[in-house]
Amino acid sequence: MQIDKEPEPDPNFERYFLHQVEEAARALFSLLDPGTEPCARLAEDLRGKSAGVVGFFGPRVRGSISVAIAGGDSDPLREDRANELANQLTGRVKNRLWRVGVAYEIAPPVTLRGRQISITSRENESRFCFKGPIHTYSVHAALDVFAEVGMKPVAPDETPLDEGDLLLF
Amino acid sequence: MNPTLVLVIDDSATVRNEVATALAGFELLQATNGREGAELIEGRADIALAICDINMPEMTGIELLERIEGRAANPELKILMLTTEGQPSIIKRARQLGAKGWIVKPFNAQQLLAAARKLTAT
Repeated sequence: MQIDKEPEPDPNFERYFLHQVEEAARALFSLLDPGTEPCARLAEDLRGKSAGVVGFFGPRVRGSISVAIAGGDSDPLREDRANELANQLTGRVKNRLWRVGVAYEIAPPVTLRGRQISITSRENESRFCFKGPIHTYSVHAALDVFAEVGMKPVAPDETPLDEGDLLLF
Repeated sequence: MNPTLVLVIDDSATVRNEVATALAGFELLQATNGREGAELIEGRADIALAICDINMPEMTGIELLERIEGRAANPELKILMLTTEGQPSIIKRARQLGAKGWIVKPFNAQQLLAAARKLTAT
């Protein structure tokens, strides 16, 4: 099994953050919706019908991560699924950033619903797209750094658990 | 023999459904936030296991643990946290408050079923 080498923390934290979002989204969607692959470029049919938005706030960073879903029109839980994906993705990114000493707390998800939901990107934001067998996912990540980040790997005993890890006490 | 009753506490219907699907053979009860979950835990002595999220509206999973400490209707109740959180400090806190396990989302269905069986074994 090939294991991708974790990139070294980048001095440019914004680029590092967006890389973590993209990688975490790729892993999450592949796990939950096998066969999901990154889309080469955005298209009109990638505009979502349901979106979940999760805000986060920490001592040095704040922002939001959104997941819009298109397709699966007969899925009665599509709105909830968008919320949960945004929540899980933000949690995954949180754990990844924790490993380099960057912390934030996560807000409850907010649901957006409509006919064609498209979240506009600005200079310090980014959008990633993934296409699965049933759903198409559009991920939007916004970051505001308001204090020096100073990424530094945490001690081994402070390393967070990985997705799917189970502990019984 | 009645099936073992498990309470799932999560604001996501998707997660509650996935847990219900994973726990074949168990009887499931659902709560959409920590407050609802705490009320059920305090009021029903037939709940053997509670599977609880952390980040929820109205009352978080940690706040639920703090509230029900010593107040669960079933003194043998086991609580398993199911959450995106993975930091050691919060896991330690949950353990101090009486949680018996921790799973980071997304969960493996077979692992969850095995954990539920182990925690509810008499």
